[in-house]
Amino acid sequence: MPPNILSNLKALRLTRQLTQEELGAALGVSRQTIIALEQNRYEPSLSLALRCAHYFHTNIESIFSLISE
Amino acid sequence: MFKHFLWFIRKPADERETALLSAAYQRALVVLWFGIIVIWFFARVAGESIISSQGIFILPLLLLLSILAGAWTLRDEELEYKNTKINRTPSLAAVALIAGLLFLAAVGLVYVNAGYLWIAAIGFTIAELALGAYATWRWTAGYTTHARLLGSLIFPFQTLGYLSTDNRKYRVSYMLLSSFWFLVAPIIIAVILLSLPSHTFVGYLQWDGYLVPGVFDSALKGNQVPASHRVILDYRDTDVAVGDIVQYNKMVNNIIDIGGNGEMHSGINESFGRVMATNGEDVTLDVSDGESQSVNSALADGVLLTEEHHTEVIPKSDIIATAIINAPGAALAEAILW
Repeated sequence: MPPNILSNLKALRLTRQLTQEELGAALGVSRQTIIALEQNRYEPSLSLALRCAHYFHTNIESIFSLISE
Repeated sequence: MFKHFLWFIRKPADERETALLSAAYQRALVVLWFGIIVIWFFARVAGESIISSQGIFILPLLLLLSILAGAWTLRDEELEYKNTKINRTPSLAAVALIAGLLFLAAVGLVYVNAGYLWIAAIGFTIAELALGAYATWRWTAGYTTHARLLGSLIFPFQTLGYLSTDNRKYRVSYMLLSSFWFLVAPIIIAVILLSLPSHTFVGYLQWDGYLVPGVFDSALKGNQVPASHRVILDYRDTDVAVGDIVQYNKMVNNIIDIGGNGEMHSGINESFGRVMATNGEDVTLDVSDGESQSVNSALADGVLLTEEHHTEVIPKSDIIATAIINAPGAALAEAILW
């Protein structure tokens, strides 16, 4: 089943001028996972989504949203 | 598909890889079970003999298919490949120390009796394998448990060779070098052990172009047997003198009960004896078997070990090897050919 989550992680990352590797290290995941998230090929776990939100000082909904929305 | 062929040795780097590898394991397991069911069904139809005759190929084939199924699941995914840092414990110094102790133990064993040479060499090999397995287990901490078990128990030296360099170009050479060293080390150890002073001494028979080692228990102990007396036995050397130890062909009769007929067969055994006298074409041999209780009394006069001597007269043409033992009191108890 294809992922049905959209993310604007790439935009947030670019505003912070972070590389994918740096963001991955900060969130405790691999660079490949950051790539998959940015390309909407992977649905993050709740834990990872919360870590993302915490890192960017925002809430989960502003980073991830359901495609149906 | 082949870029993730070794997916099953990976430790997942994060939650995404955990999910991907779980899917791969799931697919592999499905293929494995499906294969088992198909083979079971096939065996029911074709007869179970197919399992016993082809079983050795079926299991690896099933495993290969399941691995390929897992790799197929991951074909569009990217996984994080990092050079796993080798955990360099135990230290090389510790490995060298253990290897040294093993070597000393082997030397000690052979010093007591050269007849233990093979036991020492096999023991050293087993210990070397155990050491390799332990080092591989410690050095592959970044891999999955089943990959570590596979590497440690079946391919320790190849795995160590593979991990000992970060340069991909040299990995295969290192693996070959490591494997070669594993094969050669016990032989080197055996050669060193053979050259050590011992309660026994070792000679070689030149036999059809091959050197065949023989162990001879001597009444002299340890370094009392000087190196000059560890003689090389020349095969087919019939130039014998009194006091020489000779190997000769001995005709023996064996009753072999084939089909209840009790037929008698003659054969030639290789035996050993010490030359007591030579007379033209004949040689009188002391063929005492060297009973241990007579060793001390026999040492005094420097001849064979038993007080009750058995002699045999053989033609010189039956002699196939001669050992010239000229150490004072170097009486031989027995000679054993490996």
